[in-house]
Amino acid sequence: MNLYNAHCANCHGKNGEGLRNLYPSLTTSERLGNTEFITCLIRNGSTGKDINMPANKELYAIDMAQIITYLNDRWGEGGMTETEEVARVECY
Amino acid sequence: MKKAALFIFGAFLLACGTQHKELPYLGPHDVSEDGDTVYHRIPDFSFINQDGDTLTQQDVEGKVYVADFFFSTCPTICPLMKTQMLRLYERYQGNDSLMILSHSINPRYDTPEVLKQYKEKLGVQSDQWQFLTGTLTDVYRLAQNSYLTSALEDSSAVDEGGFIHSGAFVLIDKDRHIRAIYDGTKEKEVDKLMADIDRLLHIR
Repeated sequence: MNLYNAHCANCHGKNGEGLRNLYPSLTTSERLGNTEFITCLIRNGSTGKDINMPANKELYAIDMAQIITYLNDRWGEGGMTETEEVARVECY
Repeated sequence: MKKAALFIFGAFLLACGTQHKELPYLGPHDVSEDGDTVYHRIPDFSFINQDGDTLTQQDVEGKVYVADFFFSTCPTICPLMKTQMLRLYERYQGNDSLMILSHSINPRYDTPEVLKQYKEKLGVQSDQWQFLTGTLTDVYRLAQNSYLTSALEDSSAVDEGGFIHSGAFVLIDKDRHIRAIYDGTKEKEVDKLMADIDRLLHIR
């Protein structure tokens, strides 16, 4: 099972379709390609009135790079995201 | 040739067998004074739904219903269960003989308001699918003793959001008997559940 299926697909769907208005679809996300934003979202999750995404503290940079590469490959503009690129990102 | 005939006959028997096999009655059985078997029944219950109204066994009287246990912030199996339950809901939408009762096992967080929002975001508009909250004791007792499934608070279950619960869909007939339990995270199991609901709804 790839990392996307293990960590993301429960909510966002095997094909990135999301779950109605409960969990957002990834297929048309304008945030794809923004490595900094995506890295911090995966790492820290998000809490808000409408969006509540769990943090994924257990993922290493190499895992996240793999996930982000997968996201971009399927629904973004493609291209490889390197582990170093993810490791450099500072989240606040 | 003989072998082929036997095989065909066997396949025929098998097909008949699956078609006419009655769903069992699950749970402990008793014997009444008259010597009749008394099957396990879901006892009376009372919960608050997403609209703040009280829902009891009277609201499911004479109906087939599916019960499950979840909580709105569950990161693991609940989304899979809800995806499958949506399939079921959409298939039986408008059929008053079938209801769905989803019980929150985190009632401290899942207030009627939270459940109302959850229901709306799932796009569920009908009263056929009810989202219920109540006291922890009630919901755990109901899950474990009445629906024969598990639901427990467990702070060590960090990845599961602090709760342990099964992804079971429990099928209850018109007389409050449990007829089968399915894994609500699996599409094939839910296909079987829907086939069994069809059978129960044609009874009588």
